[in-house]
Amino acid sequence: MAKKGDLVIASRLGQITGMPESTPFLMEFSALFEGPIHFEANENLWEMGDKDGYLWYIHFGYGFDRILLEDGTKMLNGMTEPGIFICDENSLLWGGPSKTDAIMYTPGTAYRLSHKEWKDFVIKNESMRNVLLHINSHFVQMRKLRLLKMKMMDKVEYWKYIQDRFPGIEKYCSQTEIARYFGVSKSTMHRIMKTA
Amino acid sequence: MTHVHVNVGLLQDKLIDLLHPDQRGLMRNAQLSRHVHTLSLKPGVFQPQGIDIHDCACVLVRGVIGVKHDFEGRDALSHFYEGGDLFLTAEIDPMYNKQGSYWWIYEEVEMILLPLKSKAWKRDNPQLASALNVQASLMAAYTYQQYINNLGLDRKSHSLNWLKSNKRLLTLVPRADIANFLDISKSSLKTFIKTVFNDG
Repeated sequence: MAKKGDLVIASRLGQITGMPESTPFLMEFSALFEGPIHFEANENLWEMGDKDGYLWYIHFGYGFDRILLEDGTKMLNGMTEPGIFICDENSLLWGGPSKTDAIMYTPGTAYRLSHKEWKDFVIKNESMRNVLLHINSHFVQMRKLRLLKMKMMDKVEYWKYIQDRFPGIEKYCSQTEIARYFGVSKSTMHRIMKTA
Repeated sequence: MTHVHVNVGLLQDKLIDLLHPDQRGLMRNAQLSRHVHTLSLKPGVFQPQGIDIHDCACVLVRGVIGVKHDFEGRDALSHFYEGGDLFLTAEIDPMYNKQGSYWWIYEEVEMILLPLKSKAWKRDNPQLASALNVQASLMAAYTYQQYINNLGLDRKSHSLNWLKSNKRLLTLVPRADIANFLDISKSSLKTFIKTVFNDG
């Protein structure tokens, strides 16, 4: 369990919802998380097909969840970065179509809560349910932006933006991985990096 | 909006699929027809004037909707809804919508809406309302994942497969919108359409 008085999670949810971190149900929710859990570089948060699912809160460190596409290739999907909540959609949504794993590319610190405890909490707690869509809308917005930036943003500018978000990304991820994250060929990615 | 008793079965089936298997029994005694509304709209921008669409789960009975977003002053089309699709008004609700997302109707639509947070719905079905509220929030969070995944696929083969499966949309949706949706140039789209039709 998180240390008593540890309001890391409540504080982040406060930022997302605009509520004070001392809001009782946010503190109660925060207290359910295990942690802090420390990771070394290249350790997995979860493996593809893991049965025990957790909701993770990333306090420090960078990584990616990687998604298995229908053509059998793996793509870097969402960036794992400080302040983000992530989980394996397949177990949280009880059978979503995605197959993912998640890896920390740098050392990091995280907190976690089992999907079962998460679900029990939100089902029983009306206040939490009422802000759930608000919280999730934050992550919907992140996904919309990821999609739109992949499609619409100048690729050189997008690369600079990613470097700002994940300093030193090119030291941790291969050019092939980064190219797939951008939805371009390796040679195009090489050109983008050179231009930047 | 008018109350209806038709096509509610379609919405019910979709909501059952959305629920966790352990929760599906909650739907057994729910009388959706007492709480749902229908909406029919002509092609153009979806205009909910005078209609409370806040926090609704919707099923499209017929017609085609494209989901568009504003990206730095330019329109981007991320996906379509067609007959039988379940979706949420939260996508375009000003309260949650930071991306200027809106629905563009390409073909006259008829849709059924269930207000997930209406007092009457929650009073009549407290457990089901809670469960649907949670699952709908999760569904919202993952809505865009598939479209992100698709951008990781080879553009040509993905576009050809999509065009083969969606020939009807070619008669309804402007080529520029389809090219934007598939993330290809209009000239590539023209070539791919030729390939698809020449292959029968």
